[in-house]
Amino acid sequence: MTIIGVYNIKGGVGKTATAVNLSYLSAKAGLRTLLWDLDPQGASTFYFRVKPKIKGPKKLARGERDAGEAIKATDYEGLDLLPADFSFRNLDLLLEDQKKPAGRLRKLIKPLEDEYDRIYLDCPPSISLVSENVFLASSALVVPIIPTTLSLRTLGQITEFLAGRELGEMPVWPLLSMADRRKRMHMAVLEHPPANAFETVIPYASDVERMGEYLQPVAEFSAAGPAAQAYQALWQELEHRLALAIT
Amino acid sequence: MTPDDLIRTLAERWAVQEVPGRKVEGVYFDTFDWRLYREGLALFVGREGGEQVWSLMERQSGRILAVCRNDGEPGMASSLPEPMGSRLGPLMEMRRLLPQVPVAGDLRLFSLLNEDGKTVLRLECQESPANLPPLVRILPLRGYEDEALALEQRLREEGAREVCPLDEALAALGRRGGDYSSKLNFALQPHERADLAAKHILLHLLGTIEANVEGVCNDTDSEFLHDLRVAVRRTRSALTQMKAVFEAGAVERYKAEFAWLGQVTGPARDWDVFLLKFEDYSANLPSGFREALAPFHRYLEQHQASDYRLLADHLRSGRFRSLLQEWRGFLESQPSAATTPANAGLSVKEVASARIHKMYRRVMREGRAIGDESPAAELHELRKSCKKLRYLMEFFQSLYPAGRIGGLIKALKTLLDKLGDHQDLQVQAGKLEAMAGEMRRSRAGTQTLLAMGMLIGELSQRQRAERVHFSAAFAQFSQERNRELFRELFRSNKEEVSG
Repeated sequence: MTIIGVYNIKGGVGKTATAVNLSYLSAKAGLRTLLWDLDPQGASTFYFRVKPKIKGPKKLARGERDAGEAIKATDYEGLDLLPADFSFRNLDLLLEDQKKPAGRLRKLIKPLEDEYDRIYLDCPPSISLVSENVFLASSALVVPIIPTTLSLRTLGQITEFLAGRELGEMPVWPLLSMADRRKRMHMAVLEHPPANAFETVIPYASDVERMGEYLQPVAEFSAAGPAAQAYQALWQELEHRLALAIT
Repeated sequence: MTPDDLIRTLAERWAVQEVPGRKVEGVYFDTFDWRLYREGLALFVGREGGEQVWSLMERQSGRILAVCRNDGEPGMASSLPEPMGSRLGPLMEMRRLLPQVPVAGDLRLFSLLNEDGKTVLRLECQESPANLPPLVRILPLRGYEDEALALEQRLREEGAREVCPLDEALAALGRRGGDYSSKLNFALQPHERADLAAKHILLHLLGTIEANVEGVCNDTDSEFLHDLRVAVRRTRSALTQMKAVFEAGAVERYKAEFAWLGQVTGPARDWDVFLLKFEDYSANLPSGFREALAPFHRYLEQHQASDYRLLADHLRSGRFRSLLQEWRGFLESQPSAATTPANAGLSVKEVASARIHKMYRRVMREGRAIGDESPAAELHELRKSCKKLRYLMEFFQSLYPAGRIGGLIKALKTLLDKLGDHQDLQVQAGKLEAMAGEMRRSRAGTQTLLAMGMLIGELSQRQRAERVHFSAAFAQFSQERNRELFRELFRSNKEEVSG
């Protein structure tokens, strides 16, 4: 099983769209895939039409449910979702009273190892205990950034933060996302991409916005569009990198 | 009702979308004796998009229990991909998975959506011949199990059949699951003529022999030869025990021929037994010596293979073929009125009770004579008598109240297992010694010979331990309650039964 964290400190960078489309393509290719919506805003959960469930406060506080019980099948064969409501109820509550809080997520994932080939983590922005958990659990980190100077700064912050942690060889791969070739600054960054960035660039495209309207991954409603094509290329590049990086 | 009618009724609760259907093409696998089927399981191996997919299902509901993708050929448990190996291994034991039922057809697929437009269920539908309601399989989605229950309820109300696709496929071939079993299950009538009942039993045993020949010749798995040999032993036992129901000349001739068959099948079985016990053997050795047994394993495999070849020659010989043919002719012929043997016209129950009681008395006599110092040969004799008694009781069990004779057979089986363990250990230790000698002459390594020496010691020790348990096992079998039951069930008032 390979765990791919999709993360940025900053919000609004196309993070959820990346996680949703990559996990969808992964399942389409026949890999048993789970998308874990760790973001309390629950955008991934919304895209898959899964309704959050409200459970009694007692059960929630005791953290009785394990991840396996909360998983929901999506409309796509081979792709399951762990909804946001599970995450924000269980994770934050449990993180505090654990001895090694940063390893909690890894523990929750452990029983799912045999069930999935790929687990995508759609992470909340900011650096928190949750993101530290993500760093510890992930086999690789995909960091979507908008090609602007400010975004490059946040990338620097992330690498700096990770450098201070013992994370072994976890690769950090920037992904240039929402790129608009009409903008001069975008073009400048695209010409000099950050180290280890994916060759594939996700363009700014209205199809990505329309995911919220169709409640589907882009390839389901606009397979020939530039966004769908870009995600397909990105997924292939990602799998290629994973095969090389993780043995 | 057609699938379309069904979908119309379901549309009251769910939005129903038909999605592109698929072709089903593949094979249901099971062991020759249907071990998966009997446990309520079905294993389907089919192709999906260039890949071979294994699906383990609950046979009745078709519910998927496990899926894996692997291009390997289904075979022995040790070679199966996970999780099939660990799930099916304990059921299959020494048996090989064989292709049982090929399947090909079209499936229509439907998605059932809730009010948010989210798929909560999938449904597979297959049109059925003869205007029966369509065959339906619910594919529950994780996290939406409640919806699956609601649909199940709905389908029951609508009268749709949730039928096992395997049973359906079997029926189309005019077969039934579990149509082979080595177990005896006759329904005899007490007043049936003894000779007709005996023929009925022997014909069934002949069927078992015939069914296993091909598996033995191909060395598919060791159980084919085992079942064939048991059927031969039972045949010989029935011939001896019920001799006065058939014409004496015929009995003698077939007894001799089946004795020959028992004899030529023996060597191959001996190697099978060693190979089956090999794991168990090596597990008992200190770990440093386990590897040293590898040359011994090769030795066993080579001899097993060459004896199987010899055996296959026997089973393809004219002598074997004409034995089966003439035997079938004899069993299917009408009894001749001119020369009626002494017991042929008696009722089967009279003959059975007399034979069982007589054999029971012999078992008691031999068992009681065995003391702690008695030689192993006496235990061996007792075992043979016990087997004869067991076969008789199994042949005729339908003539007696099931609860009572069942308990006695069980008690006898327990005693037989004890005797069998003792004797097998002795025989194996002896054979191992002979093999070690042969391997020494062919210059096997010191470590290997040492390991075999340890095995011989280990087996002899276990044999002595079993020997100590004999008197307790026999006392258990010959307890008052069993003695009473034997008398009650089998002692006949008439003494005219000869034999």
